[in-house]
Amino acid sequence: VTKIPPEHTAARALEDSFRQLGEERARAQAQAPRQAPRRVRRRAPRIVLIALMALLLAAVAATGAKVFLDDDGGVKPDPKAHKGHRLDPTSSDRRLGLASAADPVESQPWGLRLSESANGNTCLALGRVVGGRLGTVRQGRFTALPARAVDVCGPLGARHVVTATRSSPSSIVAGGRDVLFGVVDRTVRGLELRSATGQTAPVSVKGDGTFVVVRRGHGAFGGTQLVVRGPADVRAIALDR
Amino acid sequence: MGRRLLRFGHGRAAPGFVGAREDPSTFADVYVEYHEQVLRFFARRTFDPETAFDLMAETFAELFAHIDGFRGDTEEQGRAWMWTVARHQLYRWRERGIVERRSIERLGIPVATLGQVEYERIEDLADLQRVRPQLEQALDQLGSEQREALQLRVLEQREYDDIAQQCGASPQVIRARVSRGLRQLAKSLAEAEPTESEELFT
Repeated sequence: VTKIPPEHTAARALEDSFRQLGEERARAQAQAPRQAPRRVRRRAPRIVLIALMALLLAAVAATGAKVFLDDDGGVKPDPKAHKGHRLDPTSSDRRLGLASAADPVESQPWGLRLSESANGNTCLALGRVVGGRLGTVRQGRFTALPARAVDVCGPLGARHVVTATRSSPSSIVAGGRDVLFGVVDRTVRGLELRSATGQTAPVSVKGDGTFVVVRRGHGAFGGTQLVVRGPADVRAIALDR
Repeated sequence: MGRRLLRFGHGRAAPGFVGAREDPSTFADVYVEYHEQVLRFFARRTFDPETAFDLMAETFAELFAHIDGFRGDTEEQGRAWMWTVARHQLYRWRERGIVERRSIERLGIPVATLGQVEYERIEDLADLQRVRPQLEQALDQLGSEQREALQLRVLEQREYDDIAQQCGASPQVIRARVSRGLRQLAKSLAEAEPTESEELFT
């Protein structure tokens, strides 16, 4: 395994993260109770097999009788049977944020979708809004985002803000565009962008706490800080692009 | 067991993907081993160091998140799985226009901003000289500032600091112009995409 040169700081930081996560997972695996494979493999007693076969036969017979005798044969689909993955936000949780921002060139505005993850974090997905749906637009064609698509998740209750920036390359807009998006909770009194030269511009926050800012060009938010005015303090979040 | 000792010595877990499945603490070694190949793969297709790095980071985060589900028995199968995930990430980037960070966010991995040395290293991996003929033809499509920046950087292979002095702008601004110019030309440059066999042996 070749070592990553020290001047490749971002690549090395990733290595450190994987090393830490890997060690944590290995420790967790070591602490987890081990299964007894012998017990699983042990041959079941014949009487249990006979009982199971009898049960299966009884079930088949009962189902057959139901299909034969019932008026509509109605075995209704179990609505719970098709629930998604445990981490997948439920559909009732997903809602379109009120904030939107115009694109520099194309007609479809940018917006975001909010949802809640199973562990209680607030998740955001960024996209273009067409007909109340969120999606992508490529060569003028809209494609809705999959229900599970999420760009960023975070503990809104603890941090009071969940935000991210995304670059969106384009063959139409020179240099593409960068989008800042997020949501704040009710404790936040105001948001503003502070440039590297100290100039500030307020960020419009909608009634549901969502905000979207679109800027033309790549690295458009580089050197900029998002200033969050909380009930007791003022925080500045450095935006990376 | 004897075979294993012969191959890997001292009875330690096998290196690579198979070993990382058994012992996740060795996944970082898999990352160190392959990250540059994956970075090159993305750099040659996105022409943007930051996008390439983000895609590479998400690819390895995805691999780490699902290492338990890796069913292969050989390193070759591990590499095949890695390229499948990488190709999927590239496809999603082209489809959605943004880098997905689902696994990075889920694992809580911070992705640092690229420094100058690293940025230029990834640019080297993109092997822009390979697309020189297409670039020369396509320069007319660009605005004057981007054309000048691309000419000096890619065709004349000048340093960013040098170009910045000549153009009266900061190296960061010049980097952004080069990056924008290349991305604007990405459609025509996509035809020069390397094949996977080229990828593995360069």
